Amino acid sequence: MKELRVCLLAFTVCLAAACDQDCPQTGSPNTTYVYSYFDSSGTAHIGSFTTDDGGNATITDVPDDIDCSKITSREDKDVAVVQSQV
Amino acid sequence: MTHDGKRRAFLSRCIRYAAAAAAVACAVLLTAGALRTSALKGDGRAEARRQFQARVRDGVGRGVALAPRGSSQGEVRAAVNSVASFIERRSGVGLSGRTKGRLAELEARVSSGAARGLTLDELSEAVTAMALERLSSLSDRDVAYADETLRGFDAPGMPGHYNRDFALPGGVVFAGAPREKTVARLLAARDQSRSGPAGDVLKGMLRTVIRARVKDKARYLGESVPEMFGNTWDALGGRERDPSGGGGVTPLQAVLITYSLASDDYLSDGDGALAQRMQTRQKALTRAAGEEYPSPAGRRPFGVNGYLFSSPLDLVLDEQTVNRLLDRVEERSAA
Repeated sequence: MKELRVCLLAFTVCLAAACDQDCPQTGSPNTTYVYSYFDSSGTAHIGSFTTDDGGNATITDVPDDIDCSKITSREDKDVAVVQSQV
Repeated sequence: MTHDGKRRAFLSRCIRYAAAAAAVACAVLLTAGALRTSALKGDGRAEARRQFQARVRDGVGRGVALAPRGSSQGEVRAAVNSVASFIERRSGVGLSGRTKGRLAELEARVSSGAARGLTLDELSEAVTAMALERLSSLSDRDVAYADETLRGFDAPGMPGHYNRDFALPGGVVFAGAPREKTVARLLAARDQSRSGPAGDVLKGMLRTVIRARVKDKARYLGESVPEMFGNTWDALGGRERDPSGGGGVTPLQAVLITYSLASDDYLSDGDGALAQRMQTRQKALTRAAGEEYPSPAGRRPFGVNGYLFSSPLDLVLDEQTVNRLLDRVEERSAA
């Protein structure tokens, strides 16, 4: 149910112009994670997000040529961040 | 039946029994494994919840002193000051003396029983109306500023591989979305908020999101710090308190919850824990990027250019917008 709420907010923002795919994330409540992925040109991208009080978050508007399963996210305290090649 | 026939029948029975026993054993093991996995997951979730509640107690529980029902004017004023100081310390956004005075008056009326607290739906309606009104009044320049701010912390020397991705409170991040795309979306949302039918659709969706978020906040605050938020949420019964029975959200709690919604500050973690979170984050991002991520020294965790979550809080909690929220709170609490 909470995952739906997170997605609904993303959908509200995407109402005016369609967004690309959503990649839902689950973790500990109110915790910051570092995510990383490589795009189709091989360029590494790093970002961060914080989960809600239910431990849910969504990385949205992800380009269709990037597989959600290849986006790696690690909790801040895990200093070793693993990156995946798409 | 011959001796060989009896032997074959006996062996066949043995094989069938063995197969049945193996099947039962497998089923038992699989069921036990599934139950154990489920129990472990449940234990893990419960433990994560307990840890989160402890963090909330360390944050708002220790950083704010709300005045219980029946408090004196002086105690109410001290409570307002403690909330204003808490918000300013974490986000840099302050409430003016005039706003604090009005907030103290409204809080004192609820505290004395002259006015009632709000239901969670009433608070959600007030916050939704405030958000839409503020959105519709944004200039193009404000929208560009909001987009820039929602792209997260920025400072000289950001690592080259780090994406300042557009993010919204509540765990929504738009990975790799270019600036022109997110600005166009914000402009479209602003224009929709100004028009009739499209504005109604936007309002309906926003109300649904805000209502769910307000309820979540009331629930975890009531569970984590019942001595401060037990009037809004009955943790044992798992439901909100009825304002007609002395419960309901007070005006000061309404401001605190609105701040939390807009800033993505879950009101968890005290000053020390927040400083630790910022340092840990710097280390993690430095390792991930392979370059030094800017230091959190002298930075605030929330608000404009917040190190943990950056938001245009100065646009949301400006004098006029906070007072429009208080207008609505006053109107409903008098009903």
